[in-house]
Amino acid sequence: MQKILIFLVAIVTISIVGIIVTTFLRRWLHEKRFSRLDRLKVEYEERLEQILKSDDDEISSLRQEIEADPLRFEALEEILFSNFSDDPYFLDTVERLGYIQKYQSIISSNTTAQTKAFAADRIGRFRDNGSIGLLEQCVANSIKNTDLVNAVFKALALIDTDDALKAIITLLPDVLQHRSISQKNAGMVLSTFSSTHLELLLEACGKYQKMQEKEAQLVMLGVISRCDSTSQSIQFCLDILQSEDAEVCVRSLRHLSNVSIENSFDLSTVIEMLNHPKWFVRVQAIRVLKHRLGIYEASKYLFLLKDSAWQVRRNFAEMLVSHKTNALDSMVQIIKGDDNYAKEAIAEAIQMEGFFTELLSYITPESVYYHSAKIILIYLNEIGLVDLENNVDISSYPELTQKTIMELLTEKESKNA
Amino acid sequence: MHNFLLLCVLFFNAGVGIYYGLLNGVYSILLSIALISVIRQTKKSKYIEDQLWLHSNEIPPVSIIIPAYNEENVILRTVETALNQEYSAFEVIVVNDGSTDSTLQKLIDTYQLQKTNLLYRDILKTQEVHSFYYSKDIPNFLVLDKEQGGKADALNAGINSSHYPYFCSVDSDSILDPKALLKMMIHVIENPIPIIACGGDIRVLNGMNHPEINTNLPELPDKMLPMFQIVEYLRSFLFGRIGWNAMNGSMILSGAFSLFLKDAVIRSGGYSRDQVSEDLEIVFKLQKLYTHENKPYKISYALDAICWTEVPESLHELGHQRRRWQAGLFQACWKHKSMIFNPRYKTVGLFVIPYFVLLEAPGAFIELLGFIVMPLAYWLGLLSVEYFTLFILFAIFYGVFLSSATILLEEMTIKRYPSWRHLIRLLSYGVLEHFGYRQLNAWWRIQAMYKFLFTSYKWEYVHKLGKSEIKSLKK
Repeated sequence: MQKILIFLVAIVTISIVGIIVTTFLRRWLHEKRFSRLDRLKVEYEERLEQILKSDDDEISSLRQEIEADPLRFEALEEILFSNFSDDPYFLDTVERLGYIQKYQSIISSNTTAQTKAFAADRIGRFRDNGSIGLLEQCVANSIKNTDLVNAVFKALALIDTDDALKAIITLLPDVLQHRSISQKNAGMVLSTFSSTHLELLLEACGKYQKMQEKEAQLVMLGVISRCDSTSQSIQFCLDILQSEDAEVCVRSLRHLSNVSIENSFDLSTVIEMLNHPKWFVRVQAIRVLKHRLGIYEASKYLFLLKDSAWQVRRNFAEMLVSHKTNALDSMVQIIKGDDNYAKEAIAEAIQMEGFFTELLSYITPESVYYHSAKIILIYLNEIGLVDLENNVDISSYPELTQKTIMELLTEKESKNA
Repeated sequence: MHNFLLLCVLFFNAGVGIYYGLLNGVYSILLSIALISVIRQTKKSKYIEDQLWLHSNEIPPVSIIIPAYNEENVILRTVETALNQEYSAFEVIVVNDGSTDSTLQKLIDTYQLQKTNLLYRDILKTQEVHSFYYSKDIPNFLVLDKEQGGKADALNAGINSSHYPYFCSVDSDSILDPKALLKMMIHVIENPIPIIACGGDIRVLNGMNHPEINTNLPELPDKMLPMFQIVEYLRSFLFGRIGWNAMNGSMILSGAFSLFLKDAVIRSGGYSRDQVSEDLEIVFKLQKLYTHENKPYKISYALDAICWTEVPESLHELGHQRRRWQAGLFQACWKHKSMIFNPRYKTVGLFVIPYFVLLEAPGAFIELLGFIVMPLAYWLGLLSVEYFTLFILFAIFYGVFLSSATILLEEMTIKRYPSWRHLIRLLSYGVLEHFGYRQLNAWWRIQAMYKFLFTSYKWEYVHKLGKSEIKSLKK
């Protein structure tokens, strides 16, 4: 036993010494390496302009110089990244210096996935459109490797061309199916293309729908939902609303809610969604209709103020309150009722829509809205949502309004007392 | 009697041998796994592209919830660093949990807060919320003033008032790195398996001031007690948590900085007010909820999401904190005892909780017993001085080995202590902690065990001195 303990103590002691030596040595080597790297970066920063103007012979000798010394290779690369330009001459210089070739060869080799991911990242940073096929192939060969798939997708996002987007569209269903990328990550990558490639995104979404690639379709629709709308995208989303899938519907509705108010479209399908069994679809449908339905039409759906989901009640109340004075009668009708959820939803919406200060201005016997505004104000005060001292500059109202407001609120307080 | 004592000592010796063998075996496994993970993480950091996420619409908005009770010395710096996060959409909610000092007034004065009235929906039941304060200039900042109900209650109130699908709990004495939230969220959303909770890496703030954190030039504290805790935190986070996380067994997420999926926390019933360590117990509840629902999920740890927190500088405060942690661990394990050795909970049920209960918890007790049994063994003529010395040497050297290995891991990852002087001091304290500090810890753990078994233990706030007072950032 004693011998075993002596052996263990010896092993542990050697390990401690080893670790301490490694720690110090590592730090010393790193310090040396980074100080040289910094010096080289300064050198290449100064030479960059000249390098970009160099002829083939000069580039060739520079290539030999950096290929012989990995630190020089890294230093120049970092300078190229920090001064990156889409100028074809710049990209050509990068290629002639051998960076693309080196990283392409790493991706084609049998090295580890992390090394390949690093190479893919570098190709992405150099925006090399010519490597897209290779990157696509690389993912296809290692479809289950999360790190590599993530790095390649981000590289394709950085390349940001039609070809890069097409590669993502081809790979997306498979990588989602193998759980090698999260929906959010795929969405983020695709969103870098969104503004300029909407047609391609719509086409891909339609394709996924036909192929019944639901997850890919959802990711694509999520990206489309945040793009600026076109007549084509509006029609696409309206058509897709017929889908039975709630997630598909909600993403389509999200796109429609971003359509500017000047662009009108057929609302009948959206109105149908107000009765959808899922609350989040109903919420999204209300958001689409918010500034599109007149108060008369909106009043037909007052039942939404009694919805089981508070989000629906709140959104519908906001929609109603957004009609401001036109909706005063409806608001009063609800406040006089006995549905506390509906009443609170209206009260909250008055705050959220910034209608409270306007409402106060009607608290004067001269106003045509006086009676309605009075009922609402008394209710808001009852539930503790009126705090004139802190929230409203009451002195900005006419004297009669100020007096009436104070009378109303004091009346309430004396009743309470 | 003599024979009985003899038998007891022999059994104890055998037990201690097995116990230390198992414990050190687990530590060695965790260390090896952590080393592999750290090497992978270091390589990965060379090609992670954060900037794509920074302005992406796909990054979910987060509510940062800061519960505060009598934190007038530290609250402003915490709020400032929270508001200065490099993140596209977030809100900061401070919950003033019935402070009797000027915590609320300082916030009102500094941020020119105005009282407002909002409807408060107590989806999670809490003590009464008196009022809300908002700033006209900083629309994503809200302060709740409520009746005192403890940290769990304050966090629940923050959840009730939050607007976003994820929330992040931050202690009122903690400072977030500017990219902490972004790093943590990238970790969460890039994982194809839904992450419902994620802990950050907690570092010791004492001895530094705020601007230094931003420029990566931290300083080490002069006092011994915080120095010991730095080594301890490094060990706990860099090999304990990384190791368990790699085995899908993350159970301890620090209350100082953790991110949660709000819906999951609400469905699990929120933070428990009857628990001493509410931040530990919530993880047990989440594990249970998702296992019962049979949904894919992960509870994780983000190595590069860094939060700096102030550690106690006096023995009294430190003892108080350690007793609370230990009692919280016992309480949570006892409350969720059905998870122990339950294969349904996989790594957590079969390894992590049994490790806490069978290896971590009795450690202090065995150490204390050692002080009684060793003289007894000597008196009975059973103790070989050479054997005893070798055993003690091994125990100390193994501890030093773990501390040194952790410092190497720190070198390989964040490397937040850049000077040579830092390195030498850290290594020295990795040795010194075995002479007094560890024994003190063992004593506090025994006290916690006693309190847990024989007295009631309530949640208490630890008073922060704000010694690492910082300069104000320009807004």
